[in-house]
Amino acid sequence: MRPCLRHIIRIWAHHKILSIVFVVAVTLTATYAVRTIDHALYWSDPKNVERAPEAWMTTGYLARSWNVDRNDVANVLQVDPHKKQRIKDIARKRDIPVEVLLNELRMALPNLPDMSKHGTSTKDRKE
Amino acid sequence: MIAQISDQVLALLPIYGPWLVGAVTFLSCLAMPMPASLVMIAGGAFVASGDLALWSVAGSAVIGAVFGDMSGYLIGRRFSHLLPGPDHPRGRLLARAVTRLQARGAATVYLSRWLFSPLGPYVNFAAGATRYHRRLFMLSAAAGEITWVGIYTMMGVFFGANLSAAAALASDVLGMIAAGTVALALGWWLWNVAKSSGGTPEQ
Repeated sequence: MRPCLRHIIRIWAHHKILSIVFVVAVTLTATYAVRTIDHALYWSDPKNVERAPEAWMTTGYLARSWNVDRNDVANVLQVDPHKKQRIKDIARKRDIPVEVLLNELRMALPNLPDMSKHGTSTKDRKE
Repeated sequence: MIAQISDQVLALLPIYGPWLVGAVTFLSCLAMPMPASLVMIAGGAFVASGDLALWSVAGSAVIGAVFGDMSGYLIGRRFSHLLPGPDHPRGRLLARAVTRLQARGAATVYLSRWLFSPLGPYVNFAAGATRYHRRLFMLSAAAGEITWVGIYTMMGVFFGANLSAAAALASDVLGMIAAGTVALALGWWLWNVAKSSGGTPEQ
């Protein structure tokens, strides 16, 4: 233990700036590590993932974001669940403003059955 | 950060996915300000939602990036005549830099693709300008791009249900790896310097 301490004292005596940079790098590593774990735990909970519907989203993306069945989202939007369509395309096809469709989704999405309770994934149901 | 990607770009992704991803990674390797990491995360998110295929998103991102690196290298090579010659005082410094690049070039090229990615485009130009071994450059660049694309696309696949979350997580992970690499390298160097300058500690 003593030679080890002597090394550290020698490093500090001869390379003060580099030692400070080293301590800063170690602190940054620890900070990033804590943040990574904290964020990963927070976002692994599906409830924290849900994103408000937006015009660029597809039915598949919405289903994943809300952890609901793709077919259920397609039912709300009155479209084919297997077709790749964005909300803005669907609004254009149905000849209604995007905002109206987004409002419909905001009302319907929280009431759709949660996939994690059924034990099947969107992909499974799709196939 | 997420606001920088306009909704138009996100809206174009499910339709022109692979082309858009490839174009963005290509331009980002030429020092153009492109939201490449977020586009790859979003690409990964559309893979998970079943709108795009993983091989097409990841493949086009790697191809775009490798072509970008190649172009950067060739641009550097084409304009290498603007650099000072060997008889110039600064030319000698440059020659020393080239020797160093030759010695540790592969690691520099590899790490500047994904870990210290803001340096990537400039390493491309420098490698071309100093006529760094072309095949070695391409191999290390391709390996680095595969790592870069792999990290971001997989982040998108697993955490892309919320793009802001995935972007934050990706920057956390890369920040941790970058700071950790600096800490390890510096710690190792300091320890060895202290050991060699102090000799065997007397008891």
